[in-house]
Amino acid sequence: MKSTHFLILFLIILSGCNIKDVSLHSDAEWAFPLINGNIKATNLIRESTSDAELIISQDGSLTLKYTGEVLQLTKRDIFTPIPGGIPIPMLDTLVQITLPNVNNVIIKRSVLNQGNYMISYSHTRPENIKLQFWVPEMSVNNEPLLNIFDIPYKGILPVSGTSSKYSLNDIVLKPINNKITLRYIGTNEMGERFKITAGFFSFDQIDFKYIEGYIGQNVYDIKKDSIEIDFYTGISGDNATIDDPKVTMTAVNSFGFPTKALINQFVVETNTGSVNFQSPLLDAGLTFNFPKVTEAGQSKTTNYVFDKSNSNVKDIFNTQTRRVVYDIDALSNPDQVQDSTYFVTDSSKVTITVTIEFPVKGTVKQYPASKIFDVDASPLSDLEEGGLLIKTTNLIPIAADMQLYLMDKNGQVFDSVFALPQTLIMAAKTNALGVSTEATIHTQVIPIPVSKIASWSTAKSIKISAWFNSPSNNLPIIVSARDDIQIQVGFIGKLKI
Amino acid sequence: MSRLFFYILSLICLWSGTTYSQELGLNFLQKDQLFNGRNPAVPFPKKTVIGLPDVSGNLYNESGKLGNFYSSSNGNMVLNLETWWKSLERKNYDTDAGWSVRTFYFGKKFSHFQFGISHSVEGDAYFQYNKDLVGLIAFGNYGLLDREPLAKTQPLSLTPILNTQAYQSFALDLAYLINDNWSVGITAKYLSGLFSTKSSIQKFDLDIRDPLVIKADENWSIRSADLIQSFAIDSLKINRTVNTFGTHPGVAFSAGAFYSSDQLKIGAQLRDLGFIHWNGVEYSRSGTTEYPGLRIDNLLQTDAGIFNQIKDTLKALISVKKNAASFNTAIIGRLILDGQYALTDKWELGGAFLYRFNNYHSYMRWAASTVFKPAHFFSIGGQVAIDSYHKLTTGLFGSIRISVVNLYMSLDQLPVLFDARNSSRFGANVGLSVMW
Repeated sequence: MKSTHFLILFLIILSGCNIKDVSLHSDAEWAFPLINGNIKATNLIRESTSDAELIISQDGSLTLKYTGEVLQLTKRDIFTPIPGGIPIPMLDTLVQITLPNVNNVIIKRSVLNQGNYMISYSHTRPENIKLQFWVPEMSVNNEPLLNIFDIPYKGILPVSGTSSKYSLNDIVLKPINNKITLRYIGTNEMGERFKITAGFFSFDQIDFKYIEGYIGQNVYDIKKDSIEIDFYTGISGDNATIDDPKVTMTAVNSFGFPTKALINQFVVETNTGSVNFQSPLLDAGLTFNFPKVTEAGQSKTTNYVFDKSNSNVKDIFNTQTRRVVYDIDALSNPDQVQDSTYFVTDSSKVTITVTIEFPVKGTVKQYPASKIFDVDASPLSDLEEGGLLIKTTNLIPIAADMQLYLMDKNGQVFDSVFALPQTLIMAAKTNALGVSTEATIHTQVIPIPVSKIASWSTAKSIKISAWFNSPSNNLPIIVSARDDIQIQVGFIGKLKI
Repeated sequence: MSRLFFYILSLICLWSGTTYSQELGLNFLQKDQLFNGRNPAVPFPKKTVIGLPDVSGNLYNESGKLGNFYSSSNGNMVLNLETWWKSLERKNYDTDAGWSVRTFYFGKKFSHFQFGISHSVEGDAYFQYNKDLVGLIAFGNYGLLDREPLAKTQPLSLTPILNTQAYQSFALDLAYLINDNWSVGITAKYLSGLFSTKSSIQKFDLDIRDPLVIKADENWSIRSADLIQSFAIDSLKINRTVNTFGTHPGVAFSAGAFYSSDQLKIGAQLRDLGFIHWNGVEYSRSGTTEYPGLRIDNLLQTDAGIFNQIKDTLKALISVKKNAASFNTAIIGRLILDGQYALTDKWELGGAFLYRFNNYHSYMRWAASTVFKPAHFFSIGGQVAIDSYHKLTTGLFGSIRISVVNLYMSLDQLPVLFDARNSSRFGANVGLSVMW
């Protein structure tokens, strides 16, 4: 039996009268808490700028960091193995060969890597012979490279053959004036010397683990890249300013020769075109530090930081910005130092990284953000009428106007909570530096009209749209990692009895 | 919570509606009538007496008239809690009820001895509440905050109390008629409990100052047998099945003495000293609750089930501990002293005193009466009474006899007959008997 039935009975009994109609007159308004939540400034920023990394400094200051791809130039990119295949004839017992000039490199000392060499021979002597082959500029384990072949006579002339493959790996090559010498001695069993009819030195490829010598001027192509900036998405005009953006180019170089960046393109693409990145640093040229010969295996880092003091970076980043595009090449030995000894190791490389940093300090007007939450709103049908009481305690120096859109199972918006967005979050108080000093508490009721309870309870998702605003005095504010918004949500209103 | 409150009120009122009372009118006719609650020492009027149904009940609501909390609107009767709340002061109020239904009585009188056996169903209820509890129900915690200044500065102490029980009674009356003037009697009852609820509420403080935080300081228990089927802060289910006879056994005893002469009648009785042992359950909560809502550390990661999570959390928050419990409840005892003096053959003056104990509060009542007997088959009397609530009542009682059939009735509050809305109490008794 419902309580109202009990009440009717109660009143009838008490009164002793014939009462036909009894009803309960109650306007009880109940309040109870639903949610006690928190949104940290860091999470809010991460949600708004998904392409950026949020850097939290030790002092709590925040920086949005957009990082481009790591552009890389390796030894393989600048020094390809020398292909072999064509035998080098040894027309005499001593043959001098000038090494090919590959990529403007003159080798003074190198260590070979992989590859094989072979010796081919032919003679017409009807006896067993011994053939000794060596290259004075090559050594293994500090011993001159020497190959000795015993070639038997088997009754057939001429006697021809090819040696086994010998590895070039770890052979130290020290050309003299970029030349090496191929030498051999042929002897019979009585020790008599003679020339063979024909001799050939061949190799499949020559590669280097280490090259030391002169490295001339070469232009190395490093690929083009771009960095998407989503910070300004959805806003226009001067509705968001960053007080001190920075662009940093970082080169980490383990090549042992000087390199200069050739900036083919460095522009900010906007909604309407592109703007060149300008800086005296660029005009002067960007050179990268490099290890000396005695530092082979080490890497040297060079940072170029472009900020409002040395570039037009503050002006070119605005609400029109969509991406930063850069195309960088590398120029070796830019000063063309002739009498130089540089080096390349097998693992040498240079990496170039461009980052764009937006310290979370500036101003915003109607900065938009939205998020869709899946919900099961059916419990709303238990309500008779009422609303949601929202209390925000905001330590972020930014206010927010908000709108809540109710969406059906197809993701279509079928209603909104407010006719127009309402300010649900008031900005925290700040000091002269723009740092929040005191949370601002704001309380507001979101009505749930009786006529809409049925339709709202069918919502499958809610899209919360927010538009953030820094204080109207237009002074830059600083958002720090400690800043957050405490949000308490409760129900107030009547329940179905 | 409002539902719970209305259940409690309704239960009390339902049980009390069947009329009977601590009213004393029929005590001035007890030598001639076989009403329920009669002094066991009083000799039967005839050698053979048979009591037919006798129904009695009473209700007392300390907070005032019924009209204080209902009003008429367009011909409809509307329970207006706001009006009721406005009428209350900052104190505890009692609503007290009792009832009894006698199904039969059979008695036989011999020269110096008489006995009687009977069966009845009896019950009582007591509910204590205060202005804040009514205000909370009337306006809700959010509405009360606007209306009650104290609610903005301090927690509200609610501490409602609800005690009720009902039981069957099989009674054996024995009386020894010492001589023509003196007699003594006793009653032994075997009781079988039907249901019981007994609350023990040391603390129930509710802090409603912040509508976004539930704060309560509680230490209470409610023991119940065969009345509450399930119980939570926001819901109450009443058991509707009748238990097996003897599930909750009990005993009670009464004793009385009576003096009667041509002009003077004096009676004294001590009724219903006894108890019932109940096998039931105990619902309890103890401790401090402070709930600011479902904690979500990053609201941006809220998932689809948040409403259900909130519901589950709230349910867990208001869950009530339930344990099996055996407990005893005392039967409400009564000491009744009465005396009458016959001025003439037709007129008598009388006085009576009632002291009720073993209830949450003890209760006293003093009554003065006049009985007029114009014929041997008809008596009518009037009484004026005052009780420990300082309430003055005026009532009527009377009987009529047709052959061997007796009809008697009593009403302690005459205004009820004319306008129930202006009454805060109600007690009556009506019954039939046959004797020869």
